[in-house]
Amino acid sequence: MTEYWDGQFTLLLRQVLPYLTADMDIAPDLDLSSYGLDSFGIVELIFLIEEEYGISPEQIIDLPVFTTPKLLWEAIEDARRTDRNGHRQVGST
Amino acid sequence: MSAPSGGADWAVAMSQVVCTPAGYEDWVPAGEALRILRCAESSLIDLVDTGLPTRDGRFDWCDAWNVGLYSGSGRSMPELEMKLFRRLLSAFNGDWHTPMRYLITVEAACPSGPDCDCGTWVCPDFVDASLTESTPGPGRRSWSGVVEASGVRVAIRSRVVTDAWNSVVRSYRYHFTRLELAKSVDQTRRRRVGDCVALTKLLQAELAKCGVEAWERHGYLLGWTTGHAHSWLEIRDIDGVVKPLDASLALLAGSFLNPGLVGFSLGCLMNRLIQIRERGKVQVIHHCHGDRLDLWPSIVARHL
Repeated sequence: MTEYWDGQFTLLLRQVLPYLTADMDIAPDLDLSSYGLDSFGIVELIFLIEEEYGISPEQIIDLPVFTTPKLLWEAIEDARRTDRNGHRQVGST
Repeated sequence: MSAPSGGADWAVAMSQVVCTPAGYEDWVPAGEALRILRCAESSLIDLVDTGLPTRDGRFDWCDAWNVGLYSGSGRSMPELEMKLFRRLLSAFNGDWHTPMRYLITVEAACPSGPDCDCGTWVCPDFVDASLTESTPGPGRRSWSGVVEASGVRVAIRSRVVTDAWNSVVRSYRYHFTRLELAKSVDQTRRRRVGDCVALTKLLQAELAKCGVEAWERHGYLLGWTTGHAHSWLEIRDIDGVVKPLDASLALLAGSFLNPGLVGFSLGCLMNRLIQIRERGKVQVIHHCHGDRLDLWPSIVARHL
């Protein structure tokens, strides 16, 4: 599924999805809550994303994005193109 | 998901925690306690040796949260929740009182699930809100729309009120507390700890002793992934103006959030708080199969 996201994102998700077995792929539309992502996991994931991608919690805390890997990755990508004051970074594509 | 417990000192944590008294416990499996504390199983054994009550291998839910909160590990769930709230408090340039608009979704689910008879549903009556009702699925109801959180920033002029406030803020500490326990002012006085409900009722009682009428207000704090139910007091000050007193936020702020919020909580309300009208119900009221159900909704908010 690396066409959607980088390998580190897969590792982050595996840390917070207790019901996802090691042999299972993470599909873009996987229902994260069905694989054990609860409010604890979301808080943990928010800080893991900050550590890995430098995205502050207030940029990513919109709860619906924690529904599927695809939505979450798109939110990360969007936040990476936007600074903390909501301004799009000039020159990014 | 468990991780090493970092710099946790369980003996120090236990010395700060006032455990839930007998009869008020909510026993949860050890696995749930480990998830809250995010520590190794051996640390849980250490905690039991240090005095954490246990029954048949189960632990009180509030005890686990309070141990985590005071653990100093930096990794427990309560600490991460506080860290998140602290971070969100510093967002928007740390502005706590300029009115803010949020797009919120309030959702409640009937315990009967698909067998719900689709009786009446009543959403909490939020101040400055315009919500539209919808049915996302059988046995569920949701309300979405824009709400404005108007921060309040005024000074308390009554010396009597300020003295009562100072007494509570200096003598008590924040603890997660079961609702039944929080409702007992005697228990709060004895334990010297409490949550928003306990500290609101305590301060109300202290003010009543001084002849000051105070009344409870309710709402939801938007500082986490979902809104958290919150209580505070209002009084009519000697200048005739109705003003808020938020004792639990002051105690949380002093220990875990932002010391600047301690003074702010005396006479001020944050723009991260969506208010319910005076005497309004904080829960969703639902009637199903002839029974009235008071349901805690999930509240998701996005700043506009």
